[in-house]
Amino acid sequence: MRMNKTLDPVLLQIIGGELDSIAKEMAYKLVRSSYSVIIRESEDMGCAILNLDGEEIAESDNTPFHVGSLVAYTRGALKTLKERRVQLQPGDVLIHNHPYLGASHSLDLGVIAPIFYQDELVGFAGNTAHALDIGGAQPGGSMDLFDMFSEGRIFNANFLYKAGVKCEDLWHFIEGNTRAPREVIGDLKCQVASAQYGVKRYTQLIDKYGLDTVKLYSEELINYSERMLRAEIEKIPDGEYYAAGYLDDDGIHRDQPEKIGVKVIVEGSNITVDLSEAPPQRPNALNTPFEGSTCVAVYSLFRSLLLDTYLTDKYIPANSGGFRPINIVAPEGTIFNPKFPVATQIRFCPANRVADLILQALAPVMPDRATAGNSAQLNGMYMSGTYENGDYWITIEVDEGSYGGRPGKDGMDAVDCLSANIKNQPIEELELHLPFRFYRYELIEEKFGAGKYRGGTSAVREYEFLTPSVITTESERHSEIDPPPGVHGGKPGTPGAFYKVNLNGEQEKLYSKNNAATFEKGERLVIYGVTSGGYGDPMERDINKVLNDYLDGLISLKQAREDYGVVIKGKQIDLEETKKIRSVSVDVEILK
Amino acid sequence: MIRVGVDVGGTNTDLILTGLGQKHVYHKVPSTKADQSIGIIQGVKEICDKAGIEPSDIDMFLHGTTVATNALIEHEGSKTGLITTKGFRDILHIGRHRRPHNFSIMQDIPFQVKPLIERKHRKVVNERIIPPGDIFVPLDESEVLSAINELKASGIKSIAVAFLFSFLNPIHEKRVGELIAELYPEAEVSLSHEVISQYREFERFTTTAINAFTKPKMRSYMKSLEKGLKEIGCGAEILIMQSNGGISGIDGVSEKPVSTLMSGPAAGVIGTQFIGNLHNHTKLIGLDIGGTSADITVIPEQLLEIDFQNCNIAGYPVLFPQLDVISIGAGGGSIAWADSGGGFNVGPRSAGAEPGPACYNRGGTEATVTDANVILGRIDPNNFLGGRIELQKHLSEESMGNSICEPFNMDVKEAALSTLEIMNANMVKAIRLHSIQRGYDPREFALVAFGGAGPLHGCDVADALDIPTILIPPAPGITSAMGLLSTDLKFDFIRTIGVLLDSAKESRINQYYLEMVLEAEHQIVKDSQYGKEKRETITIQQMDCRYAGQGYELSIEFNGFTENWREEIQKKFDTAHQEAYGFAFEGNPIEIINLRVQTVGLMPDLEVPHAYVAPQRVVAASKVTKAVFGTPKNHQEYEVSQFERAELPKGYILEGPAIINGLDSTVVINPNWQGEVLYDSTIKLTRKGVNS
Repeated sequence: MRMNKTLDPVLLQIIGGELDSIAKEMAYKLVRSSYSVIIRESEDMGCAILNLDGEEIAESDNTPFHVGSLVAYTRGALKTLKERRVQLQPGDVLIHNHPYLGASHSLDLGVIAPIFYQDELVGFAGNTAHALDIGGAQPGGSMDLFDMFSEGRIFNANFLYKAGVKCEDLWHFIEGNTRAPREVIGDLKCQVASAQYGVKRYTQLIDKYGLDTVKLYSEELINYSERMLRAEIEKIPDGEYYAAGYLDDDGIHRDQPEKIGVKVIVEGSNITVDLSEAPPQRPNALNTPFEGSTCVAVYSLFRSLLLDTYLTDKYIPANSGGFRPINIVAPEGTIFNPKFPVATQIRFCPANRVADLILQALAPVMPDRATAGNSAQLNGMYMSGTYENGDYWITIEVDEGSYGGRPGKDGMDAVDCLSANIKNQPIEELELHLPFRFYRYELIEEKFGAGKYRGGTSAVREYEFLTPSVITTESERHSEIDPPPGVHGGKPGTPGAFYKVNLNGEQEKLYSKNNAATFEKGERLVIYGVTSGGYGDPMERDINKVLNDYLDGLISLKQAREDYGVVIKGKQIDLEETKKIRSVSVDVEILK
Repeated sequence: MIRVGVDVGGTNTDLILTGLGQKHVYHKVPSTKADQSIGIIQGVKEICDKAGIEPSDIDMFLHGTTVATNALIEHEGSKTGLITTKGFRDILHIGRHRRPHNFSIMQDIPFQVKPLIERKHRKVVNERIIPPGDIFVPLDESEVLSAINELKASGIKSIAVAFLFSFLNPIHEKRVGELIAELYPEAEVSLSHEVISQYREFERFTTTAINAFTKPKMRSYMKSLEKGLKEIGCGAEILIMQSNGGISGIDGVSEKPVSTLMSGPAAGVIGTQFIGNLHNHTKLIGLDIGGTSADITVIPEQLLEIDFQNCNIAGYPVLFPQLDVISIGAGGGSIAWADSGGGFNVGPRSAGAEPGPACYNRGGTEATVTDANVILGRIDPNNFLGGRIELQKHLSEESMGNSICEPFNMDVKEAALSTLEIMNANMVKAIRLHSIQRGYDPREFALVAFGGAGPLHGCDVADALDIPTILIPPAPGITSAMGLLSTDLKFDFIRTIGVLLDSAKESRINQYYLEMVLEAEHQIVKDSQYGKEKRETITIQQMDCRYAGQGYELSIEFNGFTENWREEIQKKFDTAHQEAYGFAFEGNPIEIINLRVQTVGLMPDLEVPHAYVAPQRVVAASKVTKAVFGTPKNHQEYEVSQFERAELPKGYILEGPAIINGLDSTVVINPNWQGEVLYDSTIKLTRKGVNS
């Protein structure tokens, strides 16, 4: 597939650049003016411009999960409007979070504004952002939910503005149905302003270049991204690849692992990801909405793997083109394609595991691109409590994971993994405004996968709650059954863990998934992130790097000797002893 | 008063000397990378010879330095240690736990791959301050002593001290500073609350670590510069440009090298402002195009500072105030190339000075922006930069043919025009982001086009943004050095306070402001001890506020405690929020996050440079050649008159299309533009048919 020869490559570049800035400016406005920490500090949000088919023609560079899901939100909302025979008008703004009509999960509120040009509907400007509370069973988010309706308020293409007039009634309803009215209403106003800004900017773009030109070139930008991705898929040998892993449990039947098998079928420039081998949907919130979450996790993995933005200075427009070559199969009734109305609020970790299993499946045929096993989960901590005067505080924290060892490089330490990429909240921000006292936030020592290129380590966090508090957690990989594997001779990483420390200093291990665990004032929570697998035989690791890891306190003397075959005396390598255990290549220069 | 300005770039060191009546003296020498002061001293000697004065006649020496910037970017600072709060050893390594690239598996995280302070040199001690500034855990001095001794034994030269919440109570950091001074007086010390007393631990700790990492280098550089100047008899006051656009003395920047990370670009901003103001333009857009990058600044009358959350140098966050300059990968050496998906790209890869553009005939085979200009006749191959390099037009055409014409099925002129159009579009996008998107209308601005390649592209960029006026400074390649001469002493102080406006205590605010003002005055006096006259000062007090619950602040001016000061602040903040985001949460409670003080010590005005002597004879075009203008699809070949810039008298009118050859850059006047030579030899361009 070549470029349409009648198009002007110069204009393509210019319009692509303009669209890119529109999406980024929308995001900038939203982040800067919003209220809740999860949006303003963590940037758990995304913005996009979409065409009439609901395809993204431009997206902001925020959390991958948000930007990718706007397509499904928009299509879901449009479907509802069509059924209701409601026509959109200029000045409308919709709110939407229905998990069976495209939402990523109900906590991510979508705000979508139609774009009209001279009375003709030409596209949509939208954003999604994580809401602090939508008035569900428990503050923030919940695991043990009976169905979608218990998740909180579900919006299905409802109007925040109608023809430019604010629908005060709905705003009052929302304000009266959240435990964090100031933050939620504040954030929602910012989301509306950001969407309206997108409408204005896209209209200006059409003013400048004309409607037909903008349409034609935005379509070509999508085609362009599709071509780039297809060219990369073609480099992977055709075939069927497979990898399997386990979820800790389903949050109901404790300590009973749930298997996920992922089949990746490569045929020319097409890929099918088959998720048939998946647990049946669960009667709690551990289900992943298919369009808004399962598919998005898969798309985002292929972008990271095949169009790695670090490896090229090519300009690859961020849009829906990257979705087209990829087909995802997930039978209805499994956790990756649940049936209405089962709850779906705690849906992230299984989808991130799928992304990593695709990577593991392809590792043998892509040795120069694929990593060892990554943490491939996240710790979503939905926390709340009550002050002495009875007021609620609510916050959401997302804790880091790590990346596996990579061809030629160690894994990244203590970062968000794969489909997650949000920021932590500064301790100096949290303690200034919320009832927390931090005791620890540092790297985990000695517990990451050894390898020629070592697995990334993660972080340990420890804090005390200064009011009575309630915590719901979303996590995986605390079980010993399936830590991130090593590849090509590397060792596996280490599972994560949550501990509650009571007022007597006694530690109690918690499960990875907790629904409304209570903490007394003064009790502490300790969080260990998941560390990743190593790439290649640790006996081949550069001995100076081994020494450095030891001096940095990341590995023990014993690990240096037993895992890496490097004997250290004092602060130096004992080369003679080391040579008895492993070969040392002559060009290794011993550090002074 | 004789002033010398020195701007050290990657290739050349630019010098300018003023104060000899109406003539400015310019000079260029090669930069000496290992020790920049060697090149500078050589340059000072030469420029003095050229001006016919002795180095001892120089009153003031102003300098834009890249010493700290290079040390950071090339990761060649000193071996540095950290003393921090127990439990928080790895704040510098974990950062905000976000990957710089959203979609990348193979990326590097700069502060993990190239740590400023290795983990083995990060020592933790028991201590803890908690809001609102209480001591929760007292400082364990015995642990501090062991930490200092261990760092000393490891050969650490510079120590950063960074504790949580030190911005609320610096007592522990101060005590550690004292202990280091006792136990290890040779070590350089950077205390986080002194470097930048602002909240968010990763950003403050990193800023402190950068300061510590670059400090020994900066101090020794300052010493050798001072010594070198003394040796040639120059005892002038030495003043260094900081990122905030103000200058500071040797002591100031030796203590806070982190304040100079954007020294060079800041000088360009000040140079833009100087040229603009000289010709009664206050709203300005600066466009400084070099070989690999373009620096862009927008000045809507007052200088803008970059938002600290966006301050990022080589992947490390920097909290220090800096002028708003954006750098994009677009320059004369930017390469035009086709990618596998059929996309037409220009840059960010550059051919640099070696091998350089294809037409340099030094082995470059890829077509660059310079090659496009040669193909279009906008650069005369036989008269480039005063004829210093003979360019080969056929090599430009060949390279363009291979890299662009063939894949896109274009003729060579269309390919060259397309290259320029994409390059210009990148710059236009950046300007728009910093002007229109912030509510400034470029049609009210003048474009100051400088740097080696700025004057080639000024008309194209101005046309795309409908900017009516372009100013080309007398020596476009040396405008940044000129900026150095025209700025003032400037010091910024900040304290995070974090209180609600309604409950903020006037006494506490007062005390913080008082402390900062005293500190500022002290600094001004300290920096004036080299000076010969007392300086007038201006002090501005600001508050960074937000609606309680938000995460980002907007700065508003604070004019003291009037009867209704709280309401005034509320109103001002609502207005500022409205302007920034398009709406305000009127009536919502407001939080004061930071208090700021900026003190400016005024320098004497720069003499009007370079008044021009009109020669008696009539100036004619040196020759007439052909050049192409227009769009890729619709272009035309014009006859263009070429002029030598040095020969143009004041008041001379230039009709586009025309090319003006200078020693350090070529000015292109497009067919729809005309120019006039102003009294200081700045060329002012206006669009034909528009009254200027």
